Amino acid sequence: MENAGETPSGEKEFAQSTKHIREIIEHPEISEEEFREMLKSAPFGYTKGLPYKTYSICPETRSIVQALVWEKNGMVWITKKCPEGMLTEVYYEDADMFKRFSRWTYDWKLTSFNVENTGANCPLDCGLCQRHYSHTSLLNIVLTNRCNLSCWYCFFYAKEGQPIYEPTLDQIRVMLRNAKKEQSIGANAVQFTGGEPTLRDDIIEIIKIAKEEGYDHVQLNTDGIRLAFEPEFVKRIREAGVNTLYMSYDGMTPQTNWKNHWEVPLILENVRRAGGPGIVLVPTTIRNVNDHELGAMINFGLNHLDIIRGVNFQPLSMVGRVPTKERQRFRITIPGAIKKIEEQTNGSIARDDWYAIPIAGHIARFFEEFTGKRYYMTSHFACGAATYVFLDGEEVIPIPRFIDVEGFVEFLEEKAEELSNWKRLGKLQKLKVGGEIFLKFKNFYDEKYAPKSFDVLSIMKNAFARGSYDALGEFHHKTLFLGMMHFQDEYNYDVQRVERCVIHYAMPDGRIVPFCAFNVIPELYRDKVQAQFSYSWEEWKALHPDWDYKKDKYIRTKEFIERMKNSELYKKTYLNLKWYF
Amino acid sequence: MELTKLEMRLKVEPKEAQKLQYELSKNLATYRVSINGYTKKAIIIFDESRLSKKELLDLLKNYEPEIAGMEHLTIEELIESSMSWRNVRGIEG
Repeated sequence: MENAGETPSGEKEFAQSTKHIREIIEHPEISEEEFREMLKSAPFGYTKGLPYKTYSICPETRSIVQALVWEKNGMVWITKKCPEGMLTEVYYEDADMFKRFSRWTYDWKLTSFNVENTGANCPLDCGLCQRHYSHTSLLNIVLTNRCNLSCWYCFFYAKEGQPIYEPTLDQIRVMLRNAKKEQSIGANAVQFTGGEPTLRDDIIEIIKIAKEEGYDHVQLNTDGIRLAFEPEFVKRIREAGVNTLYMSYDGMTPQTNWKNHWEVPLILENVRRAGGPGIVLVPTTIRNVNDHELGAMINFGLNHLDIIRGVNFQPLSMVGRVPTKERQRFRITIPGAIKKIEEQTNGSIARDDWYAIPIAGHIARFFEEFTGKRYYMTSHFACGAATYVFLDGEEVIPIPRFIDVEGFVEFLEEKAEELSNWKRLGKLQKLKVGGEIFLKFKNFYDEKYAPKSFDVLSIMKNAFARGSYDALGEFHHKTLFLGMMHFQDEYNYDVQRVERCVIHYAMPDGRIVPFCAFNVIPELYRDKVQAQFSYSWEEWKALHPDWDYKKDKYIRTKEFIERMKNSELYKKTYLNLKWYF
Repeated sequence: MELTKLEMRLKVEPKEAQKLQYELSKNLATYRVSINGYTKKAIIIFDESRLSKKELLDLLKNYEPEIAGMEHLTIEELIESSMSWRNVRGIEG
């Protein structure tokens, strides 16, 4: 069932995928009286455990109301009373994991801000304001609302005759500089997104500007279509400084991955020939649609470990008006996806192999002393999860199987003061302290379960002794990063998460806005500001007389599909894979 | 583009302030909105070619607005004044 001869939209594939619903999430009953009683006695904030109070947003009226985060049947739920009625949504499908992750918090305050607001109406007055608890770990800049695909659910891309949003090079530079100069830690990583950012003819110049402005990490959020057909372009973006292609990849079949299934073999080959950039696969994860292929997608990554650096699952965020029945069918949360991965990898990547994102903040603080650079990954513990898996010959070994990461991080915290003097230490002293940490590290390391095909211990020893993060480079080429990032929607919205958001959007009006404000309340942020800074269709046409809307759109032909189906490259990419689980 | 910055005092409760914040922020004429129901202070930066001062004050009339200050600035000045290095706590921008 391929829709050849048209711009991929995914509508028919989605209808096909959802014909047979395998499972639904039953919401628990809670009366208004019970809700009010629990709300009365629950503390505010997650630090005292479940249940607790927070604030949330109402889907229709956009009122900010108190919400209760509570546990029932081993799961965590969020309930609120909106003017439109009582609403309950699953917050986290595993209460025990929620409790384990909630130990890891890493709050601190920015000392700079971009709006005069105090956050009294959070998240209706974003910008960043003085109340925000984290800096910009990853800055997003929307380069265009033009797109080469026409995804059926997307309200964002410009349809024929609609205004075009495309910030100028000067505006982009200002947005980059604004986040870079945040105090006390500026942004180090930027993601150019869209629409489809590769549709911009000046993309190479934009990448160079990001480098000029001091960004170490530049990634493109792309469907990869242009990269499939322009090998030279892949080389040019790599040379210009793109580190990572953050690429849509929703499944293993043309039905689940209708966006770029047929083009992926060409993309991978072109990246291989160009020697980069590394690819992170980004599956938007939907229950009953592609949640049966999560293990297979990891396996795919492991088979292409020379160019695929990671798989970052994004459980679906259901922005807009979504009936309860649909939410029960399609909602999956981080632990839900982790459970499926455990099942689908036969326990090779299990539930306890994952960590809450804020743990990385503690590790980053340690490496900061070595590198002199500041990479803080904070966020709310419920926003994400991550792990690394090592490919040891034919065996897949998650990092926690041989390193007690939590124990080691606790030790690093104890050592924090000593490490803060690192920069002032002489060479011999550095060797001494590095050596001590390495010796202690061995207590958290279990050789019996460690990879045999390469020496993790000596890589670590080098890192501690040389005091260089680069020494860990070897690590990255034998490992696959696995991540989960669950962006919110109106139904599971927790203002405490937004306050700690680390993935922000720069807007051309001088503000910097958390992801889950920008996309969940588009009428105040994304859509509004882009309407203010867009070109009308006529203005755009006058500025670009040679531009043709239809030429932006990708048409996947029947001939192309046939050619790919019969190609060796297709077989090599999808069919001749080793199954590691 | 020239913008107007109005600083006001409003007789507004926090819940109403939130609602007002949302409604005014939605308006394409506004570039910054800050309605604080606790301090009763409001700052609105808007484009008078899309929403006149009179229309804005009409929208606020239930909260008995008292203008505490008014200035004009360009959109470039607004952007420049929002930059992180201009707004470091404890340091004048």
